[in-house]
Amino acid sequence: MGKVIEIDGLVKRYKELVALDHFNLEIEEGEIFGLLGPNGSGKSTTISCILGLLKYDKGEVKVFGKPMEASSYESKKDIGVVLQNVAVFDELNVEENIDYFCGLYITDKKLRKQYVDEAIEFAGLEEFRKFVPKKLSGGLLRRLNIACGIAHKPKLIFMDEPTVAVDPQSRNKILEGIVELNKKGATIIYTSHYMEEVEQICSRIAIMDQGKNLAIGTKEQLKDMIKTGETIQAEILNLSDDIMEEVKSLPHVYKVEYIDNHLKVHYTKGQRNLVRLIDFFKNKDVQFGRVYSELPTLNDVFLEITGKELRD
Amino acid sequence: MQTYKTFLKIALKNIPSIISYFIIFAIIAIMSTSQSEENEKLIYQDEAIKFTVFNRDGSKTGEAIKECLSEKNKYVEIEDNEETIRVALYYRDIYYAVVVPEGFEEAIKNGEDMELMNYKVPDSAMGYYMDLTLESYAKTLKGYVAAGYSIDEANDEAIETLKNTVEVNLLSDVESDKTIGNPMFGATDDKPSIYYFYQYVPYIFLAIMISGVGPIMITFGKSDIRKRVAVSSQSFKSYSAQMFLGVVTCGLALLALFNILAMILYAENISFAGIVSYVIITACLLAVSMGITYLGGNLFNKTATMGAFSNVVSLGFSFLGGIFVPLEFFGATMKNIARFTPTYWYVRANEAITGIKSFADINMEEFALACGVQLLFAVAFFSIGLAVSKYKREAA
Amino acid sequence: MFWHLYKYRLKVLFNEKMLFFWTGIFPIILGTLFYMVFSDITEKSENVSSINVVISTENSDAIVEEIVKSDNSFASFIDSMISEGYFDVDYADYATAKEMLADEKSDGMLLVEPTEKGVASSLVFSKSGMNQTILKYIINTYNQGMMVAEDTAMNAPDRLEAVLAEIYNNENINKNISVTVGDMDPYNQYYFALFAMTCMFGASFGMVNTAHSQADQSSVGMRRAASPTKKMAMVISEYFAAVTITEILFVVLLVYLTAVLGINLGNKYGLILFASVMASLLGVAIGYFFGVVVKGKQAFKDGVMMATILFLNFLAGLMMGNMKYIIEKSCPIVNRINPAAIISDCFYSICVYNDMNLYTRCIVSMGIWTVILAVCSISILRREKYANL
Repeated sequence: MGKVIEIDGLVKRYKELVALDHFNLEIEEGEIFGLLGPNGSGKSTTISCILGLLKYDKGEVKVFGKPMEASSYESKKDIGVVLQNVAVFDELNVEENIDYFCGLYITDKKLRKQYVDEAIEFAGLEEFRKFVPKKLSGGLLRRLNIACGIAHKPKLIFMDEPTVAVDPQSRNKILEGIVELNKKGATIIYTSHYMEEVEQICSRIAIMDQGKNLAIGTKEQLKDMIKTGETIQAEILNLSDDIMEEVKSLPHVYKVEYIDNHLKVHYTKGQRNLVRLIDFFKNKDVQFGRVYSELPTLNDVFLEITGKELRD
Repeated sequence: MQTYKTFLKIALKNIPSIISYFIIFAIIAIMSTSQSEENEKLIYQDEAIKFTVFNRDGSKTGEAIKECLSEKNKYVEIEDNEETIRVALYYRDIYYAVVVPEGFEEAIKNGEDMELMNYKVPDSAMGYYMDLTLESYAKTLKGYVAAGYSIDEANDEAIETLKNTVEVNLLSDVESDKTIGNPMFGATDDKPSIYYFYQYVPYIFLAIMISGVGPIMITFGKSDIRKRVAVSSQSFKSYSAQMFLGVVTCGLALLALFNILAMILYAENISFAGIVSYVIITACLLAVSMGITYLGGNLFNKTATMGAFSNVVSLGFSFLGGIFVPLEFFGATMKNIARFTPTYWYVRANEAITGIKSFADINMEEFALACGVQLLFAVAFFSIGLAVSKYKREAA
Repeated sequence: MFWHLYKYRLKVLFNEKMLFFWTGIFPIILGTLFYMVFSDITEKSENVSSINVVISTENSDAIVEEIVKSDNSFASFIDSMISEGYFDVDYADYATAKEMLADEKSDGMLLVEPTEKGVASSLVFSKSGMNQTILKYIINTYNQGMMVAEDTAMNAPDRLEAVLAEIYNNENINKNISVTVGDMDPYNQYYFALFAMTCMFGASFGMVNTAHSQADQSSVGMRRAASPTKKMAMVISEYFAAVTITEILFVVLLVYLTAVLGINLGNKYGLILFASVMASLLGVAIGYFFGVVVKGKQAFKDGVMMATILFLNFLAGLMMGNMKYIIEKSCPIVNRINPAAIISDCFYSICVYNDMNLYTRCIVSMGIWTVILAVCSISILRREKYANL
């Protein structure tokens, strides 16, 4: 397992704005790597730099172990890109679009035909071969956008928010496809601000904000990084302040809120919190309704690391 | 007044592109004006026609022809070779070249027929004029030879005789007794520069209005926005009225811009009556332009289509209506077609007020007719536009 | 790879409907307009009608007809002009004649004055034009002939007949050597300007190409920049695709003008086509240049480019045919460097003058322009890394 991408100390400035601030990243072969960050955090800038499209001020980018330049045609042959904006020709139909972009990589006509057919099948566009992009629904258009990026069977695929504005059905289809590509051996770099998607498919995740790589690891590792454990909520009518104070003194509890007849107890990591809380209520004779526990999500991780919600 | 305000806000954003249009067209108008002045010079000042003579005969007659033509025109020496002649004609270094063939003088002496030859700029007024002069000279020369003069004497007499030309006066200067030079066909008449400035205004007006204001109407006409307005509390009438007001505001700004420009450029030779009548005819034209813009804005959904519409309409009406090619060159068929363009009536209105010093000078009947027909055109365009808008609104 | 890029670029450009309008349909519409306006003009000038002359006198006491009749030769001259259909004569007093002139009911006023030697005449016009020129010429010829005749009558009366025979000899004594090919319509220059416009509108195809070629201009450009295809391969193959389409549209226009409208453009179609290819190369290069040099939104770039092209075509006589000659007289350098003027000159040189020197010079000028624009565009286009995306 070699390193597919190595980024060391990357700095990119747009006039005053620092888009990438000594950014570091290493991605291993065979990963589905998730790049998480709010809008404007530098995800797309990072990808453009890796692709050798964007000038940067400082740092080093290596792809497949070689420095990446605009003229690194050998490396580019093994790269596929699915951009944030749909990048297809409105004037060409589905099949022509895929054939065109595939043709930029594969010159052998026979092989290309096979690849194009496979890409169409992969994207589930068999019935839409002769459709021009305008006639496609949003979901199908995204699938075409993906098919154009992966038809040449690249070893390394960049996917910059490929599921933006896609209906749930198409989204599932896309996510399954990504996993499938990965199983066939492609390394995938995936950016999104849909937390669930990243949690669902990524083997490793980096959280970035303001051009910095704030945290990196598997989702479990990331969740471990933060002090938040589970959160327990209970419906309780007329909770007295005394009881509140007592709840606060229970083990592992670090924050208690009481809003709209809902008690919210935040725990640091620890065991048997739910049982202990219910026992406490019974002892104090507190009447309670529904009680449920939530484990921390990436969103909590994100919130704690960056100080802001991922979706704004 | 929300619609109206938004309309103007978008219009202000379009100002840079409208200004660039305006600058380009202002240059065109000013250049056309100087072009027409150029034409005038050709007619009324004794502008010399550049010509040359190839005296292949080497005779005195050849020299005499040169002398005779030089009387009013400018002799230019060039090499006697077809290639050189062609290039010189093409770049208007000369308009006319006379070839006196070998043996010409001998033929004249013996009373034989021998032709002079010439090269000239094809179909030019200058070439035609030189043809006539040369023909007169040859006939007169032959006449004197037939009368028994020696060839040298005949040449001298002919030169003297040709200096006698009929006295020509222009109607307007009959009293001042100013003679004119070489009258030319092709050029029209003694119209002042401001006539030419206003002559080209329709092209500019149509182009700027349709391509500048049209896109704003399209923005408002987008079906999403139209639907949003349809569900709003604003009535269709009020919405239309405010849009209309928006178009009128932009139009008035344009109207002011052009008339002020004209007044600055031609401050010296424009009377108060002139100013008023120019404002009236451009206002009629503005009404037409707005009508077409309104129609186009309701017909089309894309800015790019509007650009195409703008060019086809402005160039089409300009050619068909006699803006670029003067109406007097039109044959009967074309003149009949021209009647169906609003620009034709604008040209007539412009002609009716050319050179007026007071309101009494205006041919009122003609002026009112020309302006009235333009307004009818405007009303027609607006009505069709309104119908289209209503139809689309109901269809949406 | 060249064919793959070329083929798909053709497909993409063929589907740019708006550009097809500009380069394909618009010239045909304009050509039709020219045809409508100019064919009518040509027909009109072929039927020269007789000149309306009003004969009058400033001498208010005399009757005009009497003055004319007092001079036999003058009276018979006027009669012959009427009978041969040159003149349509009215007699009127001075005030009426002036009014007729002002109302353009009459082309010219012939003022007559009795003198000892016969009638002396002068002309008054309200404007100048073809009829006025002819009228002046006819009167001049009569006067000058009279001078020769008088002179002869005094010095050698026996030769008078021979002299009059020479003077009234209507044989052509001056032959024009045409420098043009065949029988050319003077309004053909409008079509040459139209050709120039069509080829230059090929620029809009060039501009689309640049938008699709730059990662900072379109998402398609970005995707292509990330591919292993060399930038120059793309630029060159797509440039030729744009030229191909421009040339096809030019040929459509040429066929329409010559075959459908029947406009005579000579027969040097080989040279016309070669010139149009050169012009298309130049036109598309203009599009590349504007595409990479002008900064801003696509619509803005388009607007700037189209306005510039139309302006250059205006200078080359697209709207007013004699614009080019005005410039030739006042500032000829503009015509040497204005691509629209160069292109229309080039067609002029083969269709009107059959002048290979001029043709070659125009072709070379187009080549120089194309190279300059191409070098400028490519130096910007070939960069593969962008400061901003």
